Amino acid sequence: MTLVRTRTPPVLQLMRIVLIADDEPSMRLLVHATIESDDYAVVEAADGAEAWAMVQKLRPSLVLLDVQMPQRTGIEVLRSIKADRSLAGTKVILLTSKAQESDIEAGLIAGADFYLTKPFSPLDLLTRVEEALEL
Amino acid sequence: MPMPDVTEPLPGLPTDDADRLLRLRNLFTIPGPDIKAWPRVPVPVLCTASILFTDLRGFTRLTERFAHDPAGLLEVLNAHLKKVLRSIAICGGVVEKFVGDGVMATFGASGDEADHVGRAMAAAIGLIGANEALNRRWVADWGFRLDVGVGIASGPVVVGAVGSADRSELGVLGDAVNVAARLVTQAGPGEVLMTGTVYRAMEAMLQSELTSQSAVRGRSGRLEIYRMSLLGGRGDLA
Repeated sequence: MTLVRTRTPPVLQLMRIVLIADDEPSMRLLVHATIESDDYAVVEAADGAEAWAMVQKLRPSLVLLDVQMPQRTGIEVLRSIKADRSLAGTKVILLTSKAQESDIEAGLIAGADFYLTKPFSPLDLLTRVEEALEL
Repeated sequence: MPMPDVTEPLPGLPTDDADRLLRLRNLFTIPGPDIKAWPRVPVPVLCTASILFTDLRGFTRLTERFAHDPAGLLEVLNAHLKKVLRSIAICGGVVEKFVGDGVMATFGASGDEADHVGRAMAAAIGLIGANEALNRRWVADWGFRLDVGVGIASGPVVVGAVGSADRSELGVLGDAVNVAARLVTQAGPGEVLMTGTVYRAMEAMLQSELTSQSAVRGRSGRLEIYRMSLLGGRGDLA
């Protein structure tokens, strides 16, 4: 699912939002299925540029960022989030493949709250999301 | 209503199979399919699909608890099944039938070929998570929980009319169906058991472990079985 509306739907104005940003549809579906909850709304972005646009528009409580994405990398989106003081409440979890472990240090330096490597454990991911949202 | 013609296999590209699958399914969505009225029995369609079975753990114990309130039992079961069906639908699966307190669903056997393994796995994860949300409420309000296990297998299947001219229904048959049905009987609470084929399609994305089990009842050959647990210790709450 990709959110393309120009106005924020009322339900998203009321609920906390978790944004999944990954250019791989199968991964978005798996992550979405893993963290689906009545406690928050889950939205998706298919690349880094769309992710940053949705962050600015929806101001999510949590962003799950793939590191390697077209348009803008996850690290670039992370830096933009951390540079924007109005997004101080937005937490970020990086999702990166084991082959990209060099990106982990860059992500943590840039301010990521946590990282998970792919292949991921659904239980670990859900636990991290609940911790980040203090559920 | 004129019957769509699915009695002749269409030559050519694989997309024809997808089209024939859709038309075959449409035949059986008409209430009370009466094969005797058809000019010819529909030709079955072969395809590669992923099969998902769910099964409840401890349902017999729960029926004891609800021995004097069978309507309440039905309410609990339907609350669970509502979550299961929603997760399957979101991931583009088709619920073929209810099997006791569980369901059999297919992915890729309706002309929807793309990424059927991933969609089946996403549905499994989603339904276990959704059921866990129900459990939190049930544990808090009533002191019980209802756990679900899942079995997934992938491979060639045939979709076609099963039965006779007097009575028939659309059936999905194949080794993958039997294997998935066996796997679900061995899946623990909050667990997905899958074949090696399913594991290898998902290994770049999801963590799973090879189990010590290598055989399923009623099947002669040995089988790699992988497990993914979604609850950890959470299933021991009650």
